[in-house]
Amino acid sequence: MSSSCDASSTCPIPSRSSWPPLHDSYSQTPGGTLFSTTPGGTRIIYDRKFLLECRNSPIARTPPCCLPDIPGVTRPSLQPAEQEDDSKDLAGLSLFRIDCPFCLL
Amino acid sequence: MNNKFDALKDDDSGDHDQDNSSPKDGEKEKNEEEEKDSNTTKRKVAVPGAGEHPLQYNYTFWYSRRTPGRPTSTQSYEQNIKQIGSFASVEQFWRFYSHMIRPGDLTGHSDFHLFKEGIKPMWEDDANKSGGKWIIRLRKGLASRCWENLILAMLGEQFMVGEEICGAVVSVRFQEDIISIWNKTASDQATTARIRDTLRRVLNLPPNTIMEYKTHTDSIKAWEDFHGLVNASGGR
Repeated sequence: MSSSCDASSTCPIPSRSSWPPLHDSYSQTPGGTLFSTTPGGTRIIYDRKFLLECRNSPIARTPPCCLPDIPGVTRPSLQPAEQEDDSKDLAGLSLFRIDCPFCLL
Repeated sequence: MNNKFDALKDDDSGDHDQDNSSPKDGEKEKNEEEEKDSNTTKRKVAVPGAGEHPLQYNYTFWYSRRTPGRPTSTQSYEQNIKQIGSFASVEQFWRFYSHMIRPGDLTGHSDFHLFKEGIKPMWEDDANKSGGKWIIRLRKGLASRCWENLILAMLGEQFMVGEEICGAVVSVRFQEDIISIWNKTASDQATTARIRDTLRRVLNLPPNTIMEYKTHTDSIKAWEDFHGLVNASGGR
């Protein structure tokens, strides 16, 4: 990153108010600024909890249009009680929460 | 380099080295030229639908299976690896994943592969040829949960190694299961260390689980040794 500031002046860190609004699913990441403000734009980051919550939306439950029929591998209809056992795994739920005092998210 | 790496799948996992991994059926979106294109795909590219949450990258699910005991050949292996589908959003991912059997319920010598769109789950793909993988061997009963946690972390960009991640594999074998994550640059120790640390954090592995990093080049050499491609004086 280059800066036009000279040694005798300071450059304020850009405040969040000047950034485009972030998706509310962005999670905190360690060293978040390193990867969340890449030259190509903001990186799309989702935590496990959010991804699991998306699973139950109607658009996530219909079969994909081109699912190949491979017996024993793919199935055209959802089984009942689709929830993973590890949804009750409390240790698992905390795995993606990263508390970073330096994160701006 | 054709099918000579097949035998390593018994010792290892997810090591598929094929010139042509295109499925012969079940795929309606591709056109013929994709099968000749080793590096990019010209198929219709998945895009997020309205109201869906886009992923940082598109991904493709693949499935492969080998009948144990049957000698493998390039032709039989090509027929045994199939694309299941590609997706560009969280919701599209779940549509595929929810309609696939969990790894713990797969039978036989089977693998699921989840790779970024355009990267084939094969060593010779340009993205993989200088790369390697972390592999984790699991006792039976853990693969479904660990695979899910692994791919959610990958899709959610939790590894934070820029463009380095290529894909992930879960391999169902006789007495154990193996999960692995492939990255582009085996020699980049900062990247491989960060991947290892993320794996420990997100997978909630049993204590004393061993993680091993293998370069694809080493896997190729191991295959050559295993198959006696070294001559009597130790040369190749």
